[in-house]
Amino acid sequence: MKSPLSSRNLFVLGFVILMATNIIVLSGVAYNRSGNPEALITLTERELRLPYRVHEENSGLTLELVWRALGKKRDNDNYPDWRYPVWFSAEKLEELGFDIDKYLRSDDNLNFYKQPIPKEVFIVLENNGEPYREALRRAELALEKEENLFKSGGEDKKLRENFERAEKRLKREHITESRLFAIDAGFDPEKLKEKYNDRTRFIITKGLVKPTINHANKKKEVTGYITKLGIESIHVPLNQRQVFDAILINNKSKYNEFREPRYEVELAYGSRFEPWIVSVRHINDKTD
Amino acid sequence: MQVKSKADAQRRADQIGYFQAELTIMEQENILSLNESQKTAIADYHMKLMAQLSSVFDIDSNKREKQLSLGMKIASFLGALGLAASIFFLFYQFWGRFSTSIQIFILISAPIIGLAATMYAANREKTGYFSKLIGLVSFACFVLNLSMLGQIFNIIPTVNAFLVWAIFAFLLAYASDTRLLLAAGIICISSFLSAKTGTWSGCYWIHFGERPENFFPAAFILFMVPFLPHNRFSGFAEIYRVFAMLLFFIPILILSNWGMISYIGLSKESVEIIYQVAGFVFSAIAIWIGIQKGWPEVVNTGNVFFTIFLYTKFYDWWWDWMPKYLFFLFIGLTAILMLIVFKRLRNSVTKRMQEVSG
Repeated sequence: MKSPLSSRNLFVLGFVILMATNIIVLSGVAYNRSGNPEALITLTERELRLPYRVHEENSGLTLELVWRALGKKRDNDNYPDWRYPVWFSAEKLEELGFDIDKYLRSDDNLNFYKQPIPKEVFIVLENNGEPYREALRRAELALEKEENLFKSGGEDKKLRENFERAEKRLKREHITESRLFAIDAGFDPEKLKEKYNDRTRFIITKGLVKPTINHANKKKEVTGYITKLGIESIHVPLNQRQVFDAILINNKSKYNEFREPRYEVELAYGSRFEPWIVSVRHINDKTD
Repeated sequence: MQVKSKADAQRRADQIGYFQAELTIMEQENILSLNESQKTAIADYHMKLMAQLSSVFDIDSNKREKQLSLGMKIASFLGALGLAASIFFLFYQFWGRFSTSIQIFILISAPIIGLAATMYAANREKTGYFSKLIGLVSFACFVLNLSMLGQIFNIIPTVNAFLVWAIFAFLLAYASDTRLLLAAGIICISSFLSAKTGTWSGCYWIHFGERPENFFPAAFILFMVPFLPHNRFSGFAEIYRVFAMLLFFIPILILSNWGMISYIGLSKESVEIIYQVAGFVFSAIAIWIGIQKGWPEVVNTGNVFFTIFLYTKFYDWWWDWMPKYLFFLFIGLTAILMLIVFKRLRNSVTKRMQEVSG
């Protein structure tokens, strides 16, 4: 009798594995894209950026999803920590299953090396909402403050630099900075969907978070940190590439810090919280 | 002697060669003299046996053939690596010019064609060099298949990819008797098991490497696998055992020096002491088991780790306060001491074997 583990049978099993795996993967894709999308949102070049460098040996194209979070308001707010949202408190971390007391109890030396390991949760992103307006307000206030200091300080070189930097920051906030902000996190996507039900403004997607320990005023404080989103690079299929190819061909000049967005992308998130590009439009030619 | 694998056949062929060489010496020194009919009978028997072994297993009948075989193995390995890399870069170079359906078609059909070609080559060519080479390329195509589908459809990475890659690599390895594919399968299944272990503590699977204890269950399972019969496959049991030991001792080595990344909720110093002791004890046990069972790879790996644990401790204790000449003198002396211990061990094994045969 021939062994059930003969080479022939093993090869046949190999075919079965290949076919079954691909069927499962493609079924998952079909399931994700079936029915009404969980989010159908229009983003611009501010939130979905072309790669800085096009690799000659890679003909594929991906857009980088650029998101931010509103950090704590500080006196010196020129370099905000975008990955430490103000809402991501110790209580929120506990709600997400992190043992905060453990981090507060352990000694500093241990904390430095024994970094907490991230967990996967659902993160809510809001496009062009209140957090963005608050970021704008902060940039305006920062400019006002730096302008006053500069005017009262005479021709001080450092004050002038700070003023110019604040001016650029506000300009960037108006023209190029992403308006997509992380505003909440949770374990239960259904609850988040109920709370943030405008599918054209909010995105619910998977991401990684972890606690970090800060020392403020000789006091240990645990705050949340968003490590990354599950998907931050979005593939552009061939039938959506025309706009981007035209931009990439015509734009071989240097990087422009204050360039107006050149395209907008309709992005959908499906039932598995995975995104895909629905349509792309040149921003100066919306009649297409 | 029952010949089940190519390794068994090669051992038998080597045995015949040694027998013939020894017989010639014994005849030259007038210890033994066979008459013509005996010589002819032995020569006929060996010739038939060698022809039979050659027809089934493609063995090397002399030293020159062995050297050429080694060259062919190296060429086959390099060829497989080159072709696999070439397929990756070829796809990256042109995939942006294809529509999604063509991309999917290419990605799915590449490993299927590769597998069919491996099957065909395995049936046609008994040496197995081409089937092994194509098998490796087929595995590379399957890795490309899943990773690129993930990119094309923006799929969130999953640990299950490692499981299916492992299954596919194991199937190919056992079907074509390829150790390199077995190693690929072991690496994939270890990643899967370790990542799954990591997720028990609630962490995201990609970060499994940040807690070395995650590798222990994979190490244990891999060490147990060769207890299932593996006689048909050349060197598979040894590869399982070596990988299992690497997955066990490397995390112990890391934790014995960086206790802060352990799951154990004790102080850093206590964790390090626990793992230092574990390192010595388990590497000594490995050497003992290896000698008992006649597993040279286990003895050697145990030796290597025992030595590393010992020298790491010497470095911790003495490097800063001892003059360097004295430090290296101690290293040399401990090496001599270990030589003496191993010599005694060897003698006791030889003596026991003599007693058994006597």
